Amino acid sequence: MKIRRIKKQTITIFAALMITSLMLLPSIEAAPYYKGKNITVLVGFNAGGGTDTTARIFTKYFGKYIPGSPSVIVKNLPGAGGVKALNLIAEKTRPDGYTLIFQNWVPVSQLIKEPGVRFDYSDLTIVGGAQGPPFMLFARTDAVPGGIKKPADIKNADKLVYAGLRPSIPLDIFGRLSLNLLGLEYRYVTGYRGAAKVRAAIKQGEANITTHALNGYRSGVEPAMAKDGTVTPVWYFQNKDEQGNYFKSKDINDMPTFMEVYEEVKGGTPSGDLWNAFSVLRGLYSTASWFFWGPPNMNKEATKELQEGFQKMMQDPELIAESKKIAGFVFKPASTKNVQMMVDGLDDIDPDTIAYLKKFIADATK
Amino acid sequence: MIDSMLTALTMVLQWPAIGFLVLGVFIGIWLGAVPGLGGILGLIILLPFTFGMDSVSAIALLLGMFAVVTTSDTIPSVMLGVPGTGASAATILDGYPLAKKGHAGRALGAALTVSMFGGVFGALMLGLSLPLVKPIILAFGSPELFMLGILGLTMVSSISGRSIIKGLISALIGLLITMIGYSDAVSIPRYWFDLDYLLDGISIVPVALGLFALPELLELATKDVSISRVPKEGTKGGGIFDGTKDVIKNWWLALKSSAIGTYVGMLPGLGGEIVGWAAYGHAVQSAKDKSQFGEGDIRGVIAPEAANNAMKGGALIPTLGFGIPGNIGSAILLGALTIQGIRPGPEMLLEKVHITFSIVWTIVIANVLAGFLLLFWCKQVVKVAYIRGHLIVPASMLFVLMGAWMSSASIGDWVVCLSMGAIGYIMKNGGWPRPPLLLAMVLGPLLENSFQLSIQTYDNFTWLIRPVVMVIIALIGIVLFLSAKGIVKTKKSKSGPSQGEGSQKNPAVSLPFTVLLLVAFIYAAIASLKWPKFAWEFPFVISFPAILLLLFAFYKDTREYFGERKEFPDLRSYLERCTQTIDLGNSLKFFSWVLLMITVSLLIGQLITVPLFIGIYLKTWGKYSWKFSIVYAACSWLVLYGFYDKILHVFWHQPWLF
Repeated sequence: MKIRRIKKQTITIFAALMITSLMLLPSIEAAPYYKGKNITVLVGFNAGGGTDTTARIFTKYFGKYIPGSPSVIVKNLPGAGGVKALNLIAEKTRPDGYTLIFQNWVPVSQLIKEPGVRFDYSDLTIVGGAQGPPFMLFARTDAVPGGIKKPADIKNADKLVYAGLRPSIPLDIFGRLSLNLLGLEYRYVTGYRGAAKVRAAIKQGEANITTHALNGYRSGVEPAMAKDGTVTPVWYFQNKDEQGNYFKSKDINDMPTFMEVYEEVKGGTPSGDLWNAFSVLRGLYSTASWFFWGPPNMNKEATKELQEGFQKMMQDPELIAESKKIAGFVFKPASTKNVQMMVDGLDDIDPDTIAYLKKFIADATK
Repeated sequence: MIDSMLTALTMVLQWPAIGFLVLGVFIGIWLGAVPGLGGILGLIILLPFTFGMDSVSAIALLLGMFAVVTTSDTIPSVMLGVPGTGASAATILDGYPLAKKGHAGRALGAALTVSMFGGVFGALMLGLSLPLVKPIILAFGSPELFMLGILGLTMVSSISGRSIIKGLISALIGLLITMIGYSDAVSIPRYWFDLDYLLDGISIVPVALGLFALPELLELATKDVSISRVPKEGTKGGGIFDGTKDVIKNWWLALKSSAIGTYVGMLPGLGGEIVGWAAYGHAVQSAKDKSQFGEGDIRGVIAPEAANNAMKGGALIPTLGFGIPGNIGSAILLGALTIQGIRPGPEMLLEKVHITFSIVWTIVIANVLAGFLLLFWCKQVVKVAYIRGHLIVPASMLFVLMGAWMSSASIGDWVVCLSMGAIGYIMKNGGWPRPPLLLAMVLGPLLENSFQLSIQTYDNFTWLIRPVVMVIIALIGIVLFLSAKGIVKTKKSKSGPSQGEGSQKNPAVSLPFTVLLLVAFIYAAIASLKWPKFAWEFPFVISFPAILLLLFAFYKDTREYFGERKEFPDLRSYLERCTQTIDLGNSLKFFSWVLLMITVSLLIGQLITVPLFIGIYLKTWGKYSWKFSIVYAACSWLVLYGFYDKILHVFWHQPWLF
């Protein structure tokens, strides 16, 4: 009897416990997805470079804006111009939202199907995108007999030698496309191993014209070479607004846009295959140029929290101040919807344009 | 001027700057002493911490660390024959033989003293040269760099080993390895066999560790000897202060090597790896008695160690003066300075001159501090030379494998490390010198790149008549002449190196390797034909002389083979003798062991596998007790988890099983 009573008591207690725990369950479920977790952000380049530095600025603030305050860690996985890390995210990473990638935008590699490219942007999960510093072109002042007095003087250059990194890199593509549009004669030298080597070549006079991202120009070229007049900024490449019209950046007032120089040198607006390729590519770069991506079909809850966290982070005044100090530029966030439209746009590009681009890149080293 | 020098000194000595400097020095010593880590990694880890600091403290932390990495990286080079960082690769050539003879203390003493000297020299030259060097920097474009690279390769190929032919082929192998992956100029991947890993090319770290470390660890494991083959009692004149005395005796060489370090390090594109070799080459060429080089000549330690520390100051000259970093390390430092709002350019000598001087002082203080710290501590390090091999192998293996893994966090790094270990074992036993291969891997990209840039920029070969290019060509001529003279002399006296790198004579090992290389180079030449011009030129130009030299080596090997074969009654007894000399059975066992570990890592991950294998190794090979093996394995797990995972954030292999 006694035993039975004890048993009964045990069952009652057990049942009570069960009920209490069931009642507690919803509150456990409501704990943030990222509570006590780590987020690893892959960077497909070596530490210390432009992408890495930018990634580290963002990751420093990101955790603060994700519910549960996960710690966000950068891991470098350099290779094949960032393609290796993108492949890994596209193919091998678990879609649990604990591994993301921070990368600059390389749609051309996907469009022309470079060897080794296996990712497809439209499969990746968007976390957030931001518009970074624009590309700009500068030249040695002595590239033009008598010196470059105003940017349009570049048309009088007699022997331009363009210092390039690799024909399929956006910097080189935009640089070459713009020079071709102006009909300038130049020698394209490819294979400089990084921006520092390009600067050395310009400083030495081995080459006399090249393209940089604005932040690299501001920190690495302006103080050492532009101040003393060795080089002159020639133009920057402006972006298109949502209606597809080019607009001037409010942050840059010491150099004209490419379109302005074109108008002064050639008059009117350009047309033809070359212009078409240029225009399509400019469109691709107008929404954003730096991204956090997740693997395909990433966990819905994680995706939502990351996307919201990203937008909130981009408003952080400290982040804005820091990126201004380090990159000399404030990154402007793009909405998830716009990034989605941009990615979808990749599929709509005319095959002829892609073929033209492919040939244009191959021709660089002929 | 003196005013701002003193202001800068007080700024560096002020709290918290001096505290950060000391912290940086300790971190630098650790990063240099562990193979595969190095100063660049240190810069990357420390960089984010400096964002909030004042400029002088940030410089103190970063440069304090960066300046002394090349002081402590000598320790593994001397003790294990493994380069701590690429900059001390040349030190192995004589440093490790010295340790084997029981003179580890002397080698380290000399290296530390001269590192201190070189570091201070480089820093002072940075202060003095900044206003003067513009014309030198501007005179070194792509054509000049190309010729410098050729000069470096000529020097190293001509100073190592019994056979100049094998030395040259070794260099060509290194060059061919650097052709793997994307070419710089065009987006065409070469020799990648559809393996993603190869798209990036093969990084030098797993190659260096495999080529040099694995064969040495193999010997320690299979023979269970201590690093010093001579017992402690039998080593006279091998103490730390004997090394310091050696430096004083060779002060002229130390000074010249420091100057080489500073001024070669200053040229954009030439890193620490190259200055070490350049100084070593100079030491050999300028020495009257060359017979001991490669077998433990202290001058072979003094020269590269002076140069690699002096280089740090030198590389900062163009970085601060014109924003042109001399190498990757300076590039990251430049980034750090930019974040601090310090911009390179003429103002570093005008309104920001105190910053320049605080950089100079930081390097000086860091070098002196690290030098003295290690000189005092070195006595303990030297004791490692007398420990049983089985105790050293597991810990070294862990650092070697992790060092290789750090280069791209891919299982391919381990496969390369293991394969290069096998190749290193064959080369070591077959009389093929390994250093030219390593240097060629450093120089390969630079050579191809500067060659193509020269051809593209100047019309065809007009760049060959640029004045500096012609001076370097003349130097190459002198090097070739001197080494030809030296070889004739050695051959006459028959007193050539008998133990050093590339001195073994073993045609039964060498011959199959020659045939293998011949096939590889013929394939390389044929495969290159389908690529566009920029991708095709260089591999083809390498393969052609390689095939000719290999045919010649084949002829010599066959002749040696039949010469030796005659002394044995039948083929079997001959081959038995050969496999005994190279300890083939045990070596195969060792390599299979490493291979098995890699395979198991693929399945269940490295964090479990590596400690597991370390425990089993100690129990089965070392015959230690279970308790000891488990404690050792647990410690290695702690290093993997605590240091590599939590601090370095290593990207581990994702295990296939879970």
